[in-house]
Amino acid sequence: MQLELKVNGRLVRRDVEPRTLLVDLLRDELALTGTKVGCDTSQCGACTVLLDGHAVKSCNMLALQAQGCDVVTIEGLRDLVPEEVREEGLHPLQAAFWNEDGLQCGYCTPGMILSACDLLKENPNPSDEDVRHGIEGNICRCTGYQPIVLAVRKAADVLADAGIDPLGRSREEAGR
Amino acid sequence: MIPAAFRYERPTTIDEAIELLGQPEAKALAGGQSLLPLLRLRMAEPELLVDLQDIPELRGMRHDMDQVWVGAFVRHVELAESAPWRVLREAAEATGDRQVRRLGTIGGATAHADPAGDLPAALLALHAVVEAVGPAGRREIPIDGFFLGPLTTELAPDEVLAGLRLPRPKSGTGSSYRKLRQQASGFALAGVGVMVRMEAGRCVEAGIGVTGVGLQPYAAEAAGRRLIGTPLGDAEVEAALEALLEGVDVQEDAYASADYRAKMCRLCATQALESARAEALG
Repeated sequence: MQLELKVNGRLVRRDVEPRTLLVDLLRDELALTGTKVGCDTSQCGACTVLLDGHAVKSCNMLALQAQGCDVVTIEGLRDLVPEEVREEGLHPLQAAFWNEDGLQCGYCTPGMILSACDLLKENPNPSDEDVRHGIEGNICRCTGYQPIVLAVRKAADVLADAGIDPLGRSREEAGR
Repeated sequence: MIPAAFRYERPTTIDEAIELLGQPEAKALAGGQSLLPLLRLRMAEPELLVDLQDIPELRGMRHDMDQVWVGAFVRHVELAESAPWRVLREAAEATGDRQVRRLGTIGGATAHADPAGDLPAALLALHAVVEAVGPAGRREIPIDGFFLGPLTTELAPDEVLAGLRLPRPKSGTGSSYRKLRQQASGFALAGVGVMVRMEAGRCVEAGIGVTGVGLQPYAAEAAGRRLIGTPLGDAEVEAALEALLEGVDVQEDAYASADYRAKMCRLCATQALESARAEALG
């Protein structure tokens, strides 16, 4: 079936089998392998992407359900924020995970960052508890989560200083 | 894991959806957060998937004089934010995780009928009514009696769950949902939704919905009746909750023995009632 959607700002048209999962479209058809398949049972959140700005599990939806939607993967995240807010080309969340050692093996990181993105969009100044609740849909088997929580809070500070939300919208825009 | 092949349709009206669902081995798709795992495990192998997301009649919440209508496609995130009852907001917030709540819908969760689903407990507490539309027209199914067993409901294969009717909160009402989560899956080992209405310090109306304990979510009618006329003090609540699991085949699994589940269920009910009572007395 014909599928048309936007991925990382670019229009994508593909003829897909109805049973194609969004994650398989991203990884196998579009070679965006930053999005991971971890558990394959919709528990671990490694496949998390942004769908119209909201975190969803791309292994738990059909590509056709995203017809006409705007998908952002880890590869496209940094393009959401202006260049001057990036650190060595990285989105503040990516930079904070790097700086705070918010990863060890790195497999959960893309999903973790996109869930954190969704959280910070709603709550620009989360407590440790808020972050832990916010990333409950993402499993990390290495870090013990504490450096991830630190990284998310650090990124929140950087975004607050820049006056934008993680999707690059000014706070006034985001409030609407 | 890749689902077995199926055809996919996206009707724009309920009538079109009903016609499609009348085809052999057709299955309705709402948010897909419970159905997709079943498809991938090939526990469900429909020939036709009918995606309901383009049907405007299934969306939104409407308030009238004494009822609230919640469209089947209202998602958990929307419920958690703006459902008219606290028990529904808390149950929505307790469901799955951030990503699942973004796509999952109230209609999907109700029709899926997971024995440990959170929303069913809230709907049972509120004495909700399911609005179903099929080839013969529209019918209303009281939620108590809608859940027949694990993943089994009163809904016919060619019926669409269009929405749910809830009472409007009156003055003196309070409601709450409490659950004990299975840490890995997030599902309820036991979950209890309650609704009470207080008049002059006495309970005049009560509803209790229980999930995660038996083979399907159920209304603990007898326990609810015993609360009526009492001030919901500790002793009265404890006495009433003796009937909480009456006639229920309490399930046992690797995570919880039947005895532990029963104890935790009573604890959730006690806490939910305490919280609902406080809200009712405002």
